[in-house]
Amino acid sequence: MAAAATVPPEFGPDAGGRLKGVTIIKPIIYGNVARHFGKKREEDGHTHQWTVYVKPYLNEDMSGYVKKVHFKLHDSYANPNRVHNKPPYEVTETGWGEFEIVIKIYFHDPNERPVTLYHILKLFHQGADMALSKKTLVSEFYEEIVFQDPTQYMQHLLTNIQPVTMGPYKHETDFEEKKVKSLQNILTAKTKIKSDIADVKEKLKQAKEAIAKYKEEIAKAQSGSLAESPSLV
Amino acid sequence: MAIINSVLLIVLASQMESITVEENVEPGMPSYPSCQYLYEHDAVELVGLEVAGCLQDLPAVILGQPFDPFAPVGRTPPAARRRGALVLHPGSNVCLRQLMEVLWEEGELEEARDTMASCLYEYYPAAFEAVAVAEWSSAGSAPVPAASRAVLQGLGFAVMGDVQDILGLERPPTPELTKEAILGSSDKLKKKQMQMSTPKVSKRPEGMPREVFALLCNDSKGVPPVFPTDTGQGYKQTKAKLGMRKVRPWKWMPFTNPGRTDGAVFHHWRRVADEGKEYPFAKFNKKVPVPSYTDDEYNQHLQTSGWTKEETNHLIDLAKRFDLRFIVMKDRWDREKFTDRSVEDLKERFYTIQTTLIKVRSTSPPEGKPYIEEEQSLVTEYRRIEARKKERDKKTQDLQKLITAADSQSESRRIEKKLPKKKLQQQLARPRVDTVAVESTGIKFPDMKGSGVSVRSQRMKMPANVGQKKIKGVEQLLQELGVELNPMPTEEICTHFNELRSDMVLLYELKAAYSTCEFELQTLRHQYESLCPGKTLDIPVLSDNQTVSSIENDGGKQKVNLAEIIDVVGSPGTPNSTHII
Repeated sequence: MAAAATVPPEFGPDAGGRLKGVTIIKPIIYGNVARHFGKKREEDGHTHQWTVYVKPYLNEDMSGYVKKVHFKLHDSYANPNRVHNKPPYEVTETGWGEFEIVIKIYFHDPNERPVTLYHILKLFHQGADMALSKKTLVSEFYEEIVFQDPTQYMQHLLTNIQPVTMGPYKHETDFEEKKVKSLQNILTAKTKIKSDIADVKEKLKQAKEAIAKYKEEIAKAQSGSLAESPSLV
Repeated sequence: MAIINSVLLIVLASQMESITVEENVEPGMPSYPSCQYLYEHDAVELVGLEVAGCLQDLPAVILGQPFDPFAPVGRTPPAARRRGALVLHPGSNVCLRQLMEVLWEEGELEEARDTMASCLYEYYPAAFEAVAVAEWSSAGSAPVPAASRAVLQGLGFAVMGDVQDILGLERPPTPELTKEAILGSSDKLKKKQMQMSTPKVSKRPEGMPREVFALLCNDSKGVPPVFPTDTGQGYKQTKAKLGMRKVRPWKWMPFTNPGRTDGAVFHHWRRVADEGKEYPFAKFNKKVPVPSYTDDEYNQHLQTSGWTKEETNHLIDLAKRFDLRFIVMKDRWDREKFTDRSVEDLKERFYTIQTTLIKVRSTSPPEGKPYIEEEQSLVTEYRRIEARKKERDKKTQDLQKLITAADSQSESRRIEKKLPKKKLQQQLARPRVDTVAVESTGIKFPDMKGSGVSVRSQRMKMPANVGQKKIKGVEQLLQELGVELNPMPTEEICTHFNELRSDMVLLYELKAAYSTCEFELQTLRHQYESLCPGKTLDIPVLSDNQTVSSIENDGGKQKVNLAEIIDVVGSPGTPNSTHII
């Protein structure tokens, strides 16, 4: 903990040295929640209140390694560039339309370039859910920030992280379950495709053999017809 | 008489740019009470000489005794002038006739002279005056100057020419008499006058400053005239010169009018030159073409209710007789035989017949048939060519499809081999990557080995070098197999997902290659059959259940396979794996 407070000089921004072979992964959640007013607001025609956010997947304080998060909203908003230097990294606004929000995450070490996430702000339930429009809509995604060969400074920051809360840390979406399911699906599909490939490969082989045979026979027939003695009956 | 004289002289004076110079009056000249302007003697002579120059070579003409211009002139100028007037006559017919009267009948002389004098002055004022002045000026000093004599001579000859023309006598061609020929050009006259006047005015009065004098007159213009003067024509405009040509003889002759059918012969006056030519008004005998028809034509095309053939014939007959004057035709309509018809009825029937006949005759010309046949054969030929072209296009298109399929397969391999690492890294931008071939073919996903921060989902992005067609195909397969297009980017999922997609592309490519082989096999089979007709090859060929069958039996199945392979990308919902299972 003391090391975190007093940063050794070699960890400074100009240290530059990278820890080869080290990979640190920080899973995050990003997305938005949206709630319908129930009616169209008179003065500006807005229909929804929404919040776009970036938060850690695990119970870890992101501000340990994140310097700031930059949300770029649609240009029609008063000041579309919203920058947050400390958690919670979220923007709450009202509006009537969906658009793409660009989220840029900056790190404390300027040697590590910021990462960019693109999120389509979601306000409307799909199809059959229209009746449930009063319900809060959640559209969030799992993402992993991969620190490949981090700088010493960055590695230091990433490994010394405070928990966000002492209580249980939960998300709207059960990503663990989703993770397992997705993987299963992919693996099944993979097996199937593999067998398909083998099958087609076999057929291709046979076809090539057949072609070779035909070519041979044609060559024979040609020479045979030239010699006026058909070899095949 | 005195009045005439004075008028003439005044006119003449104004024409000659006269200047009142009292001192110049010759002491010996007789003075006329009404004549205030006198002329320089040499000026008159100059005019006379010019006229003489034009007429010099002409033979002398002797006129009748009473008007002999060469007879000794009396001392009374009016008489001389009058005589001159009679001789100096322009070609006007009216005046000429009067002159002839004077010449041969010698009656009513006084009247004739007066008329002639006025006429003459109208036509040749300057010449008349020149003669008159010459006579007058010579009155005091005999003999008559040669110049004025020549003038009289020449003008007399001109008159005689007219007389000879009228009498039908031959005469040698003469140059046309013009005012310039008689008077000389007016330019010359002016120049003379200038020469006459300039010496007098160029002298600067004593005591007058040079500058002031220069304002009054300069070298080129001389002194401005005291009163306005007309140059050139004087008071009168030049009149047209009529009757200067030889008279053309006329003859009383018979003629026939070709416009008439009866060949009647009439007589009329005509120029001799026009004898034998066609009657000029014959060409105005225009006829309206009225259609006629045969019985067949009538029965086939012209029959209509309400009109009998006889009635129609009557209509056409009237139309011919009265040149389509329908009002007259209606008037002459035979009301006893036929029902009365209005003008509109007649017109309608007539023009219907005309248009029908034109149509019938133009659509079925004798040479029409071969044309139609030729055109039809051309049309069929054109259709055949089009059909052949379409067939060819279809074939090339099919071939092109297969070629592109094969190409894309080999191309992806080539890219795999040739693309240097550096380039790929550039393409994939920030996360520096190395390419690792999953298999012989497939998708090469960037394997982020470079240091730095990145987002895991970035590794699942389709590389840019994968074609849209393949991407679509892969997406479809994923949907069929119930796999999300964007699964959670954990490390494990990421790896497997990428491998899955790479396999899918490989499968796609293999199928494409297989379809190419199928096609080649088909071609070879046809080739073989054409080489050895009637024979079939028993080659154990690809089939799903591994049954050995002849190509003939397998043909249908192969086609099904081919279709499925092509469907991999194309139509969604086709379970492309069915035949494999």
